[in-house]
Amino acid sequence: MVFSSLLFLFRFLPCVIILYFITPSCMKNTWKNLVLFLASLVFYAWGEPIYIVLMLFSTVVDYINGGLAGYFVNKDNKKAAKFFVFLSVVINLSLLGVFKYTGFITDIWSQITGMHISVKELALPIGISFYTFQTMSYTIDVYRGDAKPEKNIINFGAYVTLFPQLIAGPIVRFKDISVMLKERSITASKLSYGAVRFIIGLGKKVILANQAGEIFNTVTAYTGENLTTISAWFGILMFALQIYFDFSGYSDMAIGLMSIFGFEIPENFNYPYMSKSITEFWRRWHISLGTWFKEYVYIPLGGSRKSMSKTFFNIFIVWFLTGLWHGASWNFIAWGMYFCFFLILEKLILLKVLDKLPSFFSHIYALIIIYCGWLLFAWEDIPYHRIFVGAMAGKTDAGFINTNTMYMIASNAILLVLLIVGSTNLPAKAGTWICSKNEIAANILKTFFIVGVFLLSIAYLVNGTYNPFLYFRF
Amino acid sequence: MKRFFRLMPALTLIIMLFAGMFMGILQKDHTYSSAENRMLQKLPKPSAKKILRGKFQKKYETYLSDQFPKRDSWIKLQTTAERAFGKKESNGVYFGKDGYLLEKYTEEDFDEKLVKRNITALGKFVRQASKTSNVKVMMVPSKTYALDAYLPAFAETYDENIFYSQLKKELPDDVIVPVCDILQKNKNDYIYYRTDHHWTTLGAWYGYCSYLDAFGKNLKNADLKKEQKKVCDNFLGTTHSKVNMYSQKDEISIYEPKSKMKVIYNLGEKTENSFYQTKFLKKKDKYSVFFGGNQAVLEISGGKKNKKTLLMIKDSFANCFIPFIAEDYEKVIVVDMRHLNLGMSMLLKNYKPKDVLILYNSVQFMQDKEFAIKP
Repeated sequence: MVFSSLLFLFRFLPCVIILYFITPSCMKNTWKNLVLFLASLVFYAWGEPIYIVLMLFSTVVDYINGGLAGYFVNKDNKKAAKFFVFLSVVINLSLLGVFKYTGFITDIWSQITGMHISVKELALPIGISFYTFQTMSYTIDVYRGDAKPEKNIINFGAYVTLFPQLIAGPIVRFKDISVMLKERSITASKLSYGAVRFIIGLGKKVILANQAGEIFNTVTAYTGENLTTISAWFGILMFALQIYFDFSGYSDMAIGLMSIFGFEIPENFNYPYMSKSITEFWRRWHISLGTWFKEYVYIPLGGSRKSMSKTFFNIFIVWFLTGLWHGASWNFIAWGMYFCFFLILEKLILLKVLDKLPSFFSHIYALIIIYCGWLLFAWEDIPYHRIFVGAMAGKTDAGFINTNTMYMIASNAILLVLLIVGSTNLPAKAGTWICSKNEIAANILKTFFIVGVFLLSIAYLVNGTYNPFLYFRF
Repeated sequence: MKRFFRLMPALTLIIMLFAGMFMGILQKDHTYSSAENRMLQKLPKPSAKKILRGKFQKKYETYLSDQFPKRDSWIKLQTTAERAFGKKESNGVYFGKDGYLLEKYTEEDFDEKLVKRNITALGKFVRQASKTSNVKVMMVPSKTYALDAYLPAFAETYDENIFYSQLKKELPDDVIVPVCDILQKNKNDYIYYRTDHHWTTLGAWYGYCSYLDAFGKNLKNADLKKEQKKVCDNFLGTTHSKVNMYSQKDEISIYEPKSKMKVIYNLGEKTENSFYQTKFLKKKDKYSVFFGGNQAVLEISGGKKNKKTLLMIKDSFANCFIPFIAEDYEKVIVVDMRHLNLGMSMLLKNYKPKDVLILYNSVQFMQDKEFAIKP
């Protein structure tokens, strides 16, 4: 199930909300957590009922591993505790390996050895990349003493399966949420903040990202005579905007829903396209993933506290894994390596240079690097990269620009402006400024905003056959 | 009080979610959508097997979307929003200037082999009929091509000239009536419906003028234009159905001939004294006011007593054209090959017409799958 569907909005969500709010919050929210746990299982099982087994398996295994790790930490038996952390990591990574990387690995194997192995490709269980990372964080946090093991399996199950962030993050570390699982308050401001945030996300996804995605797909489908230089550039620009609005929109919806249920979870995006360097971009883009790799891979490896060469090696490992995490395909690894290169370059000299430059130039630098990165990310198949890079460099029979391209740009000029302005912090600033004047007026305005964006999103959903979700494949 | 306002955004959202759910559950399901011309998904019956395989879930989601309360209005809202976003087309229809909705045609809409086959078959028939009759071919251009000045900036459509030059090559000289020229010359008149793919009665009158012109007759009938009578002003046609948005409605006018005419439908199925079936003006398909839509065979008499017979082989574009030409012949035989299981050469034998007119819309002719198989 996805948030941007009529099923979620007009069947699932109202039912969950009513059950959640009539359930008493006694026994430290256990009953409310049970509602969330069961609802999440239904949410998860809707598309692939079989994989509910996987979900329950993950829950039970990590509950036991985390519990035992905690038990041995208490007994001061670090070795035994470490064993259970190790076990949890191995099991989680095996799940990822089997369901996500089998095809990729056998492909490589048969290319190297010439031996052909045929494996039945399994359907990727949605959100597996996200919840395996969450459950790993649980045992590690417990081992490190950052969080206490969760005794109540219902609470733990609710954490693992929590439907708002189950399928596309943010990746919430256990230590960020463990206290809230038992003690959280539901207030009017949290509810309304959640509602507004959810609607912002819905609009970003349904109204803006889907339109940008359609343009990108049109350009991708172009054959020789329509792929002009300008249309190739325009197509990638639309992809860059689509992926931001799609993914950050989904994070907005997740944060909004969590807020409605009384949770406060960390932000996942912070206007990444306003960055002045690649280092900054990765502090603003998919923050929860970056944090996860930093805390559970980069720092344990030694981070930047050791020699220069060790630091670069650590950066290399983290970015190789980040690339691989995005998909079982070479282009994602190449994408990770691409950023690795610029991050090391910036660490060596470039950041010092960028600091001295007027911010306009550093913005341009960062945007160009990010933009070219999407070129690697956009397709898994190599021919596309070649055709598009060629067309962008002017090697295309269609020429620089043609009537078709002009028509496409003229039809989407307004959308383009909205997308660009929407990816800066200007709308948020304007919103905060207006809402700071008078609380009652602000709430009335918010209500109108909700009604307007909601109705428009529904219109797009009712009419739309085009409603993919990009991060599903990760 | 402040607390209430603080809660207002959240309450509004929750109310809307519940309203949507209850309206959906309480309303009666529709089986058919006339706007989209298709059956709608009914509530699927769940079974353990279907649920485990995810089949029930898929159907249920289609069901929710198909049966969504006020579905048509939502689609209208979406199209209107698209226009506000600056989009210049929706579902293969351009939002043209002056309220014109113009179908977008691309090369993929036409099967080159089929077009060629139709042209060859037409050429063969024309040469055969020319032995005994005066033959004219009238290819009415598509609205998009004739009114390309109304297209949005930079919008492209299929260049019908490719088709016309192929046609010219295949047919003898002087057979083709240059209807495209006269229509393009008068593109500022109301010659095509804004929301339908057909030409208007005025457009057909221009076509009639160019037909007379092709015979070298001087245009005494030029004042016919004035006698058209508006019978309807709320017509929303086929192009509108494709986009389903708020648009300017069309007017339908008719021409009442001066003399009393007799129309025999489908070889004696029924006989009427009028070309028009006004009951269709109250239905959605208002263009069918002309002869009740496409009929296999019409036999019209009551025109000039000149012993002349006209055989018309035609598609729907002829329906509003016939009233003009009917008065010029003692007998007019109108045949729609798509509804008749008979070869065209048989018609020549049966009716021995003095004149033969083949009147088609270019797009419908190019896409006609049956034309070539009924020689």
